[in-house]
Amino acid sequence: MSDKPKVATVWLESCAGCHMSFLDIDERIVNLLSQVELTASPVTDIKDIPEVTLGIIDGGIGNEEELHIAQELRKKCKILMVMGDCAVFGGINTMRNSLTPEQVLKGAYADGATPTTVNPSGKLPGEDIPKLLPQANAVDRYVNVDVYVPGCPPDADAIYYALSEILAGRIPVKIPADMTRYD
Amino acid sequence: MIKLHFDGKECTGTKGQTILEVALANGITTIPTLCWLEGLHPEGACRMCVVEVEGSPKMLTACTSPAEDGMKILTRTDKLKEYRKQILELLFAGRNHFCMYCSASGDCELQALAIEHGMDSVRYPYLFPNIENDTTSSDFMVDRNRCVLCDRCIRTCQEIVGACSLGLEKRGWVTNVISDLGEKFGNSSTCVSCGACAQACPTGTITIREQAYRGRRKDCDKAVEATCPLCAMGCKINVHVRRNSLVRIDGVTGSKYADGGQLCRKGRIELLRASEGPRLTTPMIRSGAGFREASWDEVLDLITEKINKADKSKSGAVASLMTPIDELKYFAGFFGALGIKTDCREGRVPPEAKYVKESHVRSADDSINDRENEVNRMRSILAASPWLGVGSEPSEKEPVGKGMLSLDFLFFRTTGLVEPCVDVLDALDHSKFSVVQTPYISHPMAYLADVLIPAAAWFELAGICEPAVSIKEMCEVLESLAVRLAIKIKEV
Repeated sequence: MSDKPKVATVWLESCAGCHMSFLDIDERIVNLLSQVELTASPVTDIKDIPEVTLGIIDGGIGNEEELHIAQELRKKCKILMVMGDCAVFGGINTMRNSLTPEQVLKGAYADGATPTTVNPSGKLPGEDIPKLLPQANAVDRYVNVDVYVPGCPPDADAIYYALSEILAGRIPVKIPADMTRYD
Repeated sequence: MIKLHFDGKECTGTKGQTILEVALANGITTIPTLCWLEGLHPEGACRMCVVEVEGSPKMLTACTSPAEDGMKILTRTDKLKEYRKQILELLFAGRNHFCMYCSASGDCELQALAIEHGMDSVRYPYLFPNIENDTTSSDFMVDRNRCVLCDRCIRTCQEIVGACSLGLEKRGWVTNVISDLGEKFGNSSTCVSCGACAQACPTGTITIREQAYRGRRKDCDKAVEATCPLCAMGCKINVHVRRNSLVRIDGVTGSKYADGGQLCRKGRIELLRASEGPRLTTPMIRSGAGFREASWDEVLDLITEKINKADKSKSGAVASLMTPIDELKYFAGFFGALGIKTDCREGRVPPEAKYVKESHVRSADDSINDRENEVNRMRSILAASPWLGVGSEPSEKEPVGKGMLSLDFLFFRTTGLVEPCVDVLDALDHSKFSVVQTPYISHPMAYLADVLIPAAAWFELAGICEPAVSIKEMCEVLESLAVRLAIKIKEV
């Protein structure tokens, strides 16, 4: 095994667009991967998170499983970076926050405006899937975050900039205004 | 004259000016603003423009604090930057300011300020208040979750429009912009749907439906300053164009014009609405319920045949008010040569045109004067005497005339600008043969025509976009027809 710094990324409550944007750094990824070892990630499909230097979260926290993963990653990483509006601000997931989880589930599975052929009896999800938290929120409502990269998704340049700065040991990282976006 | 120092730079102003006014007059652009808008009285609602003044224990809002002689002002200290960032974070935490599903994203002053101030996270818990939105108006939507309570819309409605529709209800974070003391916008009796509030709105709170998702101002290729063609007021419009397509029409703000950027509903919304549609690129001939493409020769031959057969006393031609004078001369000369009486002398716009212009100004008012004119106009149609009406919109005020029109031949030239009124549609419907020269195949008049001929749209005639069809081409159509009919187009 190499002694290169290890990186783990997780995909919580989001569309995975941030991971797509991460892949959009194109050929720069070759140089990047020569400097780090990518461990658990939706890209490698490795699920178990080892002890890593850098943990990256894409997505907000809206259920118990996501909260658990975020806390696990926080414990196992030295630096935690969140990317994307869902992870940074809460994003589109927070649309449900003016309702209770019960109202949300009922609205989605039972009283939905669209008739469903998949679930005609309007059965609500049971205990086999993670329980919704009272609200969907940004990652830093639950665990400490070191680096923020906003954007929906962040520009590939912003992600690359953040990773380069972290690799160079320059923390705290501030994404320059010309790379920052919220949409 | 008073002397002030901004970040060490000496600037001059006059007593009575605010700190911000002096700064702007001296080219100091380091004071951020959100609730301040040129042309409105300053309110100091957002506190973004705070500056440090030597000797003052607290920060002052530049937009409301009077400038005084000898003031030493700091506009961009770390303390100010942190304070301003904190204000932005509180604004973001207060309501729904998630940009990814907002039509104003990219055009939003709040977003631009947050990015400028390096806001990469929000330290405060979000409130997620349950605030009711109002989409009852057919012209615009009010998403109060996007509101930063800057009051710009309210002040615009009061000070520039004079409608005084808007106001605030409640206090604190649940304060809302409302119309008519709580009446829904769709039911407002004072709102004139001019859309000035939407232009003043720095976020995506008030959105004009017609403009939503057409594109961002910053993505536009150009913004052309033009004159609104709809009435004699001649308001200045700022037309944003992207890829030869109109994105939005704004009033021209600032001190340059006395109207302060005010436009009416027609100028801001209808004009924009009339700029979209499937373009007619080739002549078409009715075929059953639809149309088929045809060659110019076929179309011109058909029109020639129909004109020859038609009883000239039962024929008519109408040109839109927006028709350029060069083309109008050809138009009047051509139909005049056919025996159709015109008032278009010496290249002047016929009196009808003036009349229609005035009627636009008074469009809402049903004055006796209007009625007399309309009745006279309608009588001439009913008498089926040869007529040439130059007006974008013969009125719909004479329902008695409906169905009594029966013309042999009707030629209608539109620029796609107006919703045709009932009597024109009736006239088209009751014509034995009708030709509609239109930019859009979707134009309501086009559905009733027997032959369609392509035309330039209003914004092409106004020089805002590259024309798809030139005026010269449109004159050539009449010239070719004149050759076929063996007539000489009269000099007018």
